[in-house]
Amino acid sequence: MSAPASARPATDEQDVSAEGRQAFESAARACYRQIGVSFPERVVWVPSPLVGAFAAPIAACLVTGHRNGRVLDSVHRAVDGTAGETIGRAVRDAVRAAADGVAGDPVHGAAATALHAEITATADTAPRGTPTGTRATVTEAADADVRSAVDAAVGGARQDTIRGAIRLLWRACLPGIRSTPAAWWWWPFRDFVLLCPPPDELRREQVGEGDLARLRLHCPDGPAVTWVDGFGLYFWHGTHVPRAVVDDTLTTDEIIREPNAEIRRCAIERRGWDRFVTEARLAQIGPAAPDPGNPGQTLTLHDVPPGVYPTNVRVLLCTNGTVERDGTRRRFGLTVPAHCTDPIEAAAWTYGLTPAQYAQAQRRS
Amino acid sequence: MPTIEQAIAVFGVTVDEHLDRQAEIPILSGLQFQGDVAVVPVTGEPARTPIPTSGVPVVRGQAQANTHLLVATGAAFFSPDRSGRALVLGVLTVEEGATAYLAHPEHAFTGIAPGTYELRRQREQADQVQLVAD
Repeated sequence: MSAPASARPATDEQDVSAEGRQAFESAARACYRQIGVSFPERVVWVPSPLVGAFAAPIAACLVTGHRNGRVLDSVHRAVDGTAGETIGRAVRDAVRAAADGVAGDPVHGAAATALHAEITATADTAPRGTPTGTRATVTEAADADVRSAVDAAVGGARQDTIRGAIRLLWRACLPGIRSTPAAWWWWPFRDFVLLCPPPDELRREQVGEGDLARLRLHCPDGPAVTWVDGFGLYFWHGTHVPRAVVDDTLTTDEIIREPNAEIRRCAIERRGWDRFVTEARLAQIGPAAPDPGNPGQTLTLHDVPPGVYPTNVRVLLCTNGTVERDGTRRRFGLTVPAHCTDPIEAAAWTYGLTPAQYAQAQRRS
Repeated sequence: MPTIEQAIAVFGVTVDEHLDRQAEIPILSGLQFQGDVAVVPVTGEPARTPIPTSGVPVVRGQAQANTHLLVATGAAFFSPDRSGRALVLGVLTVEEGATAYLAHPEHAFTGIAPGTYELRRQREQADQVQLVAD
């Protein structure tokens, strides 16, 4: 189908240069000045929003006097176990850079945590970014996937200070400052600031032509959005989906039970109707019919039970008229109206022909 | 009937390497399909706009790939549909003595005999707005 357009993030999504980082830090400094809080000495760039979401609350706990090393180790192990060791290592590095050696001061406890409410209030003088377009899509998807990762790591029954802080503070980040695009997220705290750059790579496809052409996030065989530490977001033709959809590792039952209809649709498309019809044992409607003009090939029509696909459809399974490189012919499914009762009628409908017209086909290539 | 090799030489378009270069291209006047494009014989107003030597991309694929390109030897005409009918791409008229071809990298050539035809696209129920793209 389409060749995914791979690109470094563009528009307000350029490479993060040292100057860009400096500019962002200056803008962040201005926000602190605005609310009369001195800018922390510790400014730490994290590789991905996932690392920031774990590292900011953990560092906040440490600088407010949390001293339980056993809990800290157990939280780090939970992050390693759910988000992977690369993310886990980056979290430990960021926590160390933000909190090591800061004198713990339990007295100002809560005041030492996130400053985002006050900084948000400085919006008039410090122009903040309201994400739009691709950036808004990435932000929303990153938020959802970070939430899942946080739930997986610390959402269980275990209760302790650090887990509680992560559950509460992972979202204590602000969108980047529009005039200085080096950071898309930042976590402003009293004793440190964590900053996160835009994704390292975006993969998109073009839809439409000419004036109507636009790009949407899509990658058929990996993450469409990636950060340098490997944290990635998965998109199927513009729809944010779980990794298992793109990796095509869901069972048929998992696809059918997926509560989100759009994700279910993407999972079926990713698998391909030809496989899904067989694996889900979708009932065949009427007998198979020889495909006119396509010697030796047949058409079959299958029912799609209500609730499996977002719209009421049947599926016509067809075979390409031309052989593939490996000598096989590609099988594929097309959705047709649910009132179709016979494969020829269904095939004819796809081209706006009558069944009698379709039956006259001389050749398919 | 010309072979795929001969058609490649005449029109300068390329098709996938694994397709048999010596296969002959049937030149037909009936209903034919090239993937998601149909060539439907019609009786009606003939087309009047000559097909340029470079051809007419009747369906443009992504990133220049998978385009269905309409080309011809002899007098052949194509009028893109302006009526807004979703499936109709336009009207093709092939004069006596001429031959038109739809060329596509994966489907090779569809040979079209003299006559007037509607070129149509394929649709799916799932997304009535989005036409099938192969």
